[in-house]
Amino acid sequence: MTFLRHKSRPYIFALFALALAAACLISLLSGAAHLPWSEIWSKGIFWLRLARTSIAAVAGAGLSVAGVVFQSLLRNPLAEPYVLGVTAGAGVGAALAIVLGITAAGLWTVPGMAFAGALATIVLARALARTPSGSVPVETLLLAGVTLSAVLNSLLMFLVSIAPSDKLHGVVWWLLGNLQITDWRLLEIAAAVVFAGLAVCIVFARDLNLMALGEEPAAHLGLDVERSRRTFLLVASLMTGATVATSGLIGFVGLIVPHAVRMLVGPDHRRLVPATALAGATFLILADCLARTLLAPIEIPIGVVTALAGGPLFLMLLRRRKAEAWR
Amino acid sequence: MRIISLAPNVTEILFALGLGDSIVGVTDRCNYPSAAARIERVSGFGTPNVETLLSLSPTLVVASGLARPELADVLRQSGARVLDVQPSGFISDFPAMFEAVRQIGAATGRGDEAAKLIATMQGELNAIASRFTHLEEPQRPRVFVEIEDSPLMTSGAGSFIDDLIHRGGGRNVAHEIEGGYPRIDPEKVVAWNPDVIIVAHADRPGEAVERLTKRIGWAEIAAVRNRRIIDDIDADLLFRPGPRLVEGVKALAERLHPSLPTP
Repeated sequence: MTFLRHKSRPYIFALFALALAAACLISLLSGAAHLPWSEIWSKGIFWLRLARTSIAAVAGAGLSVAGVVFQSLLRNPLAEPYVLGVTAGAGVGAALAIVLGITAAGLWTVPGMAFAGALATIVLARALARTPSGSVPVETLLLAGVTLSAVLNSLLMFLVSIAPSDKLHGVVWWLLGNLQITDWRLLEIAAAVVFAGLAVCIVFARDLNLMALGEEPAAHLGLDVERSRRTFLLVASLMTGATVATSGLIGFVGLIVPHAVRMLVGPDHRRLVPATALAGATFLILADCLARTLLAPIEIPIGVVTALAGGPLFLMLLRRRKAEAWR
Repeated sequence: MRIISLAPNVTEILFALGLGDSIVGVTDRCNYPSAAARIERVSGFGTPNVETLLSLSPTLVVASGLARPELADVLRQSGARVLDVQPSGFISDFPAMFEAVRQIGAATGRGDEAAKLIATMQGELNAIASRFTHLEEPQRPRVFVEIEDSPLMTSGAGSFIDDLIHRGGGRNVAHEIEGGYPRIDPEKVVAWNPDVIIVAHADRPGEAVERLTKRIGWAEIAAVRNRRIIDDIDADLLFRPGPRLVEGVKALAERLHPSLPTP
């Protein structure tokens, strides 16, 4: 198990935490309103910024850690929170609510339907991949998920195509991701789900290490592979579902942040999971700062910023690592 | 003449010019006047189906912003005349709306009726404006229009809604933003601290107050604190650049300045 002998750098966690704190500060200080601090405070703008910074942190951490889990679980570097169709399912749920004008649960309708769509999809993917003997091979799960994702995406495109023009805007914006949050309860629930999932991943980080080795070695080392997979699949899907429900689709974070952090702290999940949570939160908070301020008071969709800012950043890391490997 | 209307405001203009009997197709959004409901639906607003259009053998197709300009070529090849009264995408103010009326009048041989309609609307606008001649700028309530809530969208300078607010005796807080219908950061609204909020998308009248009060940070906005939230004026009067827009100005003026005497 050579990968566990990665250079230990204790100070790196302090750096990650410091970066997150700095990002929070920047986020609280930046925004569309250019007013003195006393007014930001007295007018309640501070609370808006705090809520927004919090949801960015929660969504960033949730998506990134879910990405780590999916990559370990499916033993595939291209795996990310959306690979098994969770987002497509959430998208269909949200689009149905928006296009059909369902408002049964008021403000909660779209997040609720998105969350339900996300969970239904993962349950369906798992059911489809299940063999008669009851096991769920990862290759089959991946294929079932990707196919389901494609089918649901077509359904989503269908809904978009029949959407009346006044609803179209809402659907498209939702698909591009959106960190505008108007309700504390929604934020609390998403935060609770993500923190609970994060706690599970930190406590059972060793199991993620074993799973990444493959089914047989993991079983030899005493892991109940089937049970662990089921647990982590559920945990990662809940985390993804909660973020998608509150913030729509924010691509790229769940794929790139885990890889970038792995380059910095190594593949041991006991370090990788907490570091990824910190880095994911930091990244999305900063990306949202850009989204809010670049064209302020007009907002840029957050999904656009994560890909545009994160892509080059990641490629730089990739090049640096290649250079290091040569030495 | 066989006319197809591809927008609700165009349908209203056509009816106002006395062309109701010549319309053979409308959109599924054309709900006024009630006679429009009896005309065949050819499309959703902005998504016309070419075959349906051609099957009605129109001689004139009037659009208010065509999402796919190539559609116009297809229609022209079949012999129909195509008039787009707002090729730039949206109507910018009352004069632009009058120009749309004039163009439709010219294309249908109803130039005189169009001129009369414009003169009537202009007259009513002047009457409303005369109420506000002695109004100082600070006496105009600062108005925020919420077109959509997810994402938060308003209308800035260069939209007819901006013009409507001014003519109704208010000041559009988003006037500082150029260009139609921007999505904006909610904290900007809190910073603007508008005196009145107009909600365009209310499910039912009176519902928006509660919803806006619950939003993080919004309870301190003057309009929310003083319950000056307008969600009960028929949205089609305020947000449809057709002949009834003047009624929208009137209704808004009543609400913004209830104490001013009506002319």
